[in-house]
Amino acid sequence: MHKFANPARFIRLSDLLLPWLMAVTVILLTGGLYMVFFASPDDYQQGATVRIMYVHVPAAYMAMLGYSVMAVASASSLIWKHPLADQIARAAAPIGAAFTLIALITGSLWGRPMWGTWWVWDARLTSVLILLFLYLGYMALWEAIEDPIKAAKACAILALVGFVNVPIIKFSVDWWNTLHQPASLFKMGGSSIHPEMLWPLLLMIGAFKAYFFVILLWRVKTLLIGRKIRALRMAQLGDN
Amino acid sequence: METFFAMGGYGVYIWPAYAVSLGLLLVLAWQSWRRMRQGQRLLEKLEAQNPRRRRGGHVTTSGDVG
Repeated sequence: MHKFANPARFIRLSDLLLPWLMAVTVILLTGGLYMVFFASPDDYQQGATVRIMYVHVPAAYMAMLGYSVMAVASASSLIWKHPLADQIARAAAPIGAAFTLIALITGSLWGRPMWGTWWVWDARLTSVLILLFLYLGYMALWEAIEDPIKAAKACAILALVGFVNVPIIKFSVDWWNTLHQPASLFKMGGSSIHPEMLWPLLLMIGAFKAYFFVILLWRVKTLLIGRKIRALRMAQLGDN
Repeated sequence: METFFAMGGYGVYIWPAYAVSLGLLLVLAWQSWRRMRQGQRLLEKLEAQNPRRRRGGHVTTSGDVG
């Protein structure tokens, strides 16, 4: 595992993976969107608004997966001082924030016709809003602390403390009364969704996941390049 | 065609949901890509100015960033 901790090797490996991940993103997204709009049925209760599910559920899932990636990377940074961990955590934050924002906006656009309201302050919606603020706070903290070692440590601690919010989001629909429907995909005893709706949903989840890793690799590369640029500039200053 | 865009009267909710989602993902992808390219170009420029550190390929680079 430590072989991949070498940044130069990481860049070579990601350059090898990126074209495939990009192709998978485009193919799954095209297939997913085709199925959503041309090959999936209306819901017997929710009519055509069920189509919002195919972007809302994958976005919400990625919002939590993104935070989990950030938390695991932050833990590796604190415990093993893994040289890439900080960059991975930092690169994951804006992607997770974007997916959280998408989940909130599409949820609101779905809530209006189905619940009669854009927003309710229930446990699920509020905990996802807190997730967005955790992402934004984490990103702001990186910018706020100048010393990169101190910044990495503070940010890793923030990410880990904030991780308690993830199970709260997941189980909020079981623990508290809410307008939000309970899980039907990721639950014990298998999914309760009809195959005609399950397939477009799975394709969209796959597309979002592949997209996540494309952007993650680009952003980790950008951070590694930035470090190298700083090191080169320091060396140049030293020479003069 | 019109019935397709109307989405049973829910088109006003469904189309904005997809427009906002894909729009945000595209903006993030574009911004991430642009910043990576800018970094790569700047690094090439700096390495050209400072040829002493270019030799050795990844051996020196891994030393810099490890």
